[in-house]
Amino acid sequence: MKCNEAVKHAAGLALDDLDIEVRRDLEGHVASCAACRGVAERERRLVEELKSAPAAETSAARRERVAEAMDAAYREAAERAVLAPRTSRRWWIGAAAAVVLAALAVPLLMSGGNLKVEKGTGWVLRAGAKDQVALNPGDAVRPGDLVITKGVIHLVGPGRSKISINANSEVMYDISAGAPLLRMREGAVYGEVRSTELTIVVPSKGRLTIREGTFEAKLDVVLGYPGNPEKKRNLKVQVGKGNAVLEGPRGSLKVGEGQAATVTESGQVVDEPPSTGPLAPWRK
Amino acid sequence: MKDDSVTRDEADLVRRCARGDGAAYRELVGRLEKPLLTFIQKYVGEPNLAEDLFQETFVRVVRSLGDFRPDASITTWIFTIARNLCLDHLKAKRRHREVSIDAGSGGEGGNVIDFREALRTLGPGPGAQSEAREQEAKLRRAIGELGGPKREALILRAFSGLSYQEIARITEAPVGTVKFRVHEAVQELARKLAPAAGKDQTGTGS
Repeated sequence: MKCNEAVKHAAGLALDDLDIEVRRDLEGHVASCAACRGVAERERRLVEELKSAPAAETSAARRERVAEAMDAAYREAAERAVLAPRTSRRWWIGAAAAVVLAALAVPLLMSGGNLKVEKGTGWVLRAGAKDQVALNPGDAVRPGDLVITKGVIHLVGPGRSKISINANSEVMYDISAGAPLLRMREGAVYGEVRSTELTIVVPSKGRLTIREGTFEAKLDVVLGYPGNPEKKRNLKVQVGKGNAVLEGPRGSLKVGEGQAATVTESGQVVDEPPSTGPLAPWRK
Repeated sequence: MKDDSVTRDEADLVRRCARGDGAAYRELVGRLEKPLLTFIQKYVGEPNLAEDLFQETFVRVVRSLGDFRPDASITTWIFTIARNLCLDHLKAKRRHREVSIDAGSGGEGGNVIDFREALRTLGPGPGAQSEAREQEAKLRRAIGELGGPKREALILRAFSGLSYQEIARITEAPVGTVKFRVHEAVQELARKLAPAAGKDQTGTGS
């Protein structure tokens, strides 16, 4: 190894992140070269001192304060019923959307913002609760609640909108943007949307927005946890009646009546051949 | 903080946080308190501001949990949020390119990285106060002169103990680039801090 190479790799020696061969060559060189040995030793001492510099001190009071701030943020997001229009690059679109959403939010607010279980049973993890409880017909699903299903469950919402959640789904209900929003983590949802706007978002940032129509949104997602490495996060949407807008980080598409589209894992929105069968057959 | 993949334990913690579980919040903050607060302190150089940014980071975590994708660790994701907050702050204050050499870390005009603790041991000895001050100034100057990417890579590696893979995700740079930046930062610091007579890094041997 030449001196210029040795100098280049000396920091790696100090940081202990060299390949074995490079490390061996470098150590051989510095053993016989006083100049490079000096460089390596100086960088080693510097790294040692940097690593031994005191870290931030921990504090139970700080942890408590931060946790309280987090809790407040959670409650604010879950319970806030004031309008919070989505970010738009064109402010006037955002302003127009705000007006529309404000009008649409009226029936939502008048209903108290809750969904009600019409048929089926499941589980619900209430906002802020530690344990999930049974969800039965007549029960309310409130903003911030996470619905966990084993079988199909049917809900009614603002303006007599209907939402069916397929078996083995996890869907969180939210109204922090002034209109109903479902955060789908797993499963599929069927909706008949009336007198409001419904938005569905998924972890891959796919977003479906529909007003006055019927649809099925299916999330092909298996979270990539150890032991379950498959990762599919495509949000597939089939529209029955009305129009929907499907958005992803890399595009958006208007999905018309009878049409289907997908937000892919990479955020692209692509057309899909529409299903020829009934919409969301699992809900029957 | 070596593996950049999400663990089942982390995934459960994220789920609990997404449900508004206060105990999960405390657990999450406790796990990252030391490395994350250290990072923020070193990055912005103002302890009080660092406390605010630390708290704001976790508030944003709560607001963004719906966007969390479990293809990277929660650590990486939260450090990314914190880094963006720090960058926003530094941009707002135009400090990211205007590093004050003279101000201490506790003041409004503080330097970007507080190396004073390190200087206590890097300095020439307790008896040589003026020399120590000079050395301290040199080190601060050297740190201030490091390019932003090198500086943040060094902080994340040396002070917060993150892996190169984690830093690569946070800074959106290739792993090799991150490694190169850290090496360059160490070399540059060592070169700048070397006594004038000892600037012999290029070597003269074989």
